[in-house]
Amino acid sequence: MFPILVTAANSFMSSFEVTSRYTSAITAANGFNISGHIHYVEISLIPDFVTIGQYLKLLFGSPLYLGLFWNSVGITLPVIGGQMLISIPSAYAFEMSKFKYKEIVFFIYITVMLMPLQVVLVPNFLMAELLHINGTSLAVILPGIFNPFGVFIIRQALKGMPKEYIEAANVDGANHLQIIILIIRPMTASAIAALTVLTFIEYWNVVDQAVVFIKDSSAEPLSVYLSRLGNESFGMIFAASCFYMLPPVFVFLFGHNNMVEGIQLSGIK
Amino acid sequence: MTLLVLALPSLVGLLGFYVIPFVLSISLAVVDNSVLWNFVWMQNFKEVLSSGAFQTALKNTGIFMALCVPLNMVMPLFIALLLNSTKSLRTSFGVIALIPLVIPTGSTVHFWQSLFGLNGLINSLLFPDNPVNWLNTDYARWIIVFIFIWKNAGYNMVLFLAGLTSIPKEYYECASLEGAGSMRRFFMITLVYLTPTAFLVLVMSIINSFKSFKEIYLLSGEYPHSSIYMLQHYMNNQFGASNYQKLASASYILSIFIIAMVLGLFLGQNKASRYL
Repeated sequence: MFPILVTAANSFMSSFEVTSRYTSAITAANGFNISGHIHYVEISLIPDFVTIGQYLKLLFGSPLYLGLFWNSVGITLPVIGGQMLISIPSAYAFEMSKFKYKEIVFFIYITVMLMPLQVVLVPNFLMAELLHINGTSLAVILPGIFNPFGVFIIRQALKGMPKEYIEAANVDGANHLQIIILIIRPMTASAIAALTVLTFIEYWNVVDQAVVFIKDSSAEPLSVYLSRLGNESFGMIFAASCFYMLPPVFVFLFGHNNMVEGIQLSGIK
Repeated sequence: MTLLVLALPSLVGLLGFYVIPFVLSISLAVVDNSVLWNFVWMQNFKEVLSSGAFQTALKNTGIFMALCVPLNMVMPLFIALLLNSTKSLRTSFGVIALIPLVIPTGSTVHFWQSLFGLNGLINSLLFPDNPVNWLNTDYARWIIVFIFIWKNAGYNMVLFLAGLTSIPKEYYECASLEGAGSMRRFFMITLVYLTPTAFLVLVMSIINSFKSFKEIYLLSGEYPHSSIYMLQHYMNNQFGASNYQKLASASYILSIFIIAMVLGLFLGQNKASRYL
């Protein structure tokens, strides 16, 4: 919790103060606090002068920031939407089908899911070249939509669900699509919430794939920008981090009850 | 039939974006360079396996996983056991525990730097005369382990809590009626019925330990200290150097390890569930 409080509190400091407190630069304000030749970081929760200078500079001084914000949104939202559209029917099909080699196919899903990012980066890169989407954000979005984690987590939730509901619906003559929309979706609401939050975090935070696939620095997502900001203009970093932190926290608070249940459900096979 | 149609987008996407390109990339691994396609078969694999960087990376990744995964399973288990006995604060603890996971890496990286860096808090409190950039020493590994546990313990704790609450109380009552002490109850009931949950926690911990690459990268850049140079760094740098051959070979070696691990987990899980 502490890192979060520090980031939030420090975002109200003026840029001068951030520089004096956190960098090794020696300024007028911290001249008295040097031991040896190095000025140490003073982490504090209470700024000397409470200003919203950082935020102002962030939002109005550099219009770049908001653009990048929408870039991040433009990556994360399609991934989540696509996952919903694709993983839920797929998990339903896995659960219901009596295909002989179903488990072997699922095993492939799990193996792909376990692969670390770098192993999948090469195949994704090859595919992006082939489809000529290399260099656009589609190259990050499309592999994200087909990430097997979604199918996994929803199928686990479905395993714990009594099948009688579906059988009753079948008797009443519902077709598969109706079953999915009217029964599966409400019943796996917690798993869906967990999937949404986890996928949101993962793609809001995307650094690697974005660095590889998106070369145009006006199209890069916020996460990449933030990691470079630390080396450039130090003053804005806390406000930038706060702003960056807000959407995931917001999404989390929105769905946390469901999410905790969803994570729990995925553990009970 | 319609079931197949429903599953088709996901299958096609998975095959098209992950499986098939992966199989195709073996063609990259067996050639000399991208321009002249000379088949050199296993030479790339041999080069990768014998390169010092790869061996260091392999050793570091292995040590990191061997440190993180057990720690990240035992500690949350303890906390979950403690929480299980007090009914009240469970949901709020769940929220608090999950918050570190939700905070994006970009925001916390700066905080960690100001703790462990050259002019960091640790230095000023403990070693004011002799500051050291802790991320550049052998202690860097422990720092990363600490950051990993800070971030992921909550997730495992929630999973364990769920597993614990799913064990029916009757087993415990029955055991204490028959005079089993609490140690006996713990080992014979709790651990045994927690096995499926423990497997899931193990799998998720392994996945998350690979993901910790992001923190290390944001903290230390492309060539961190040699004790935290991971396989992902190796592959990332090969990617940057457009050394696709070595990259593909390294991917294949890594994936063979992972497939072996998944098979091991699956077989172990089947055996364990038969025992139950």
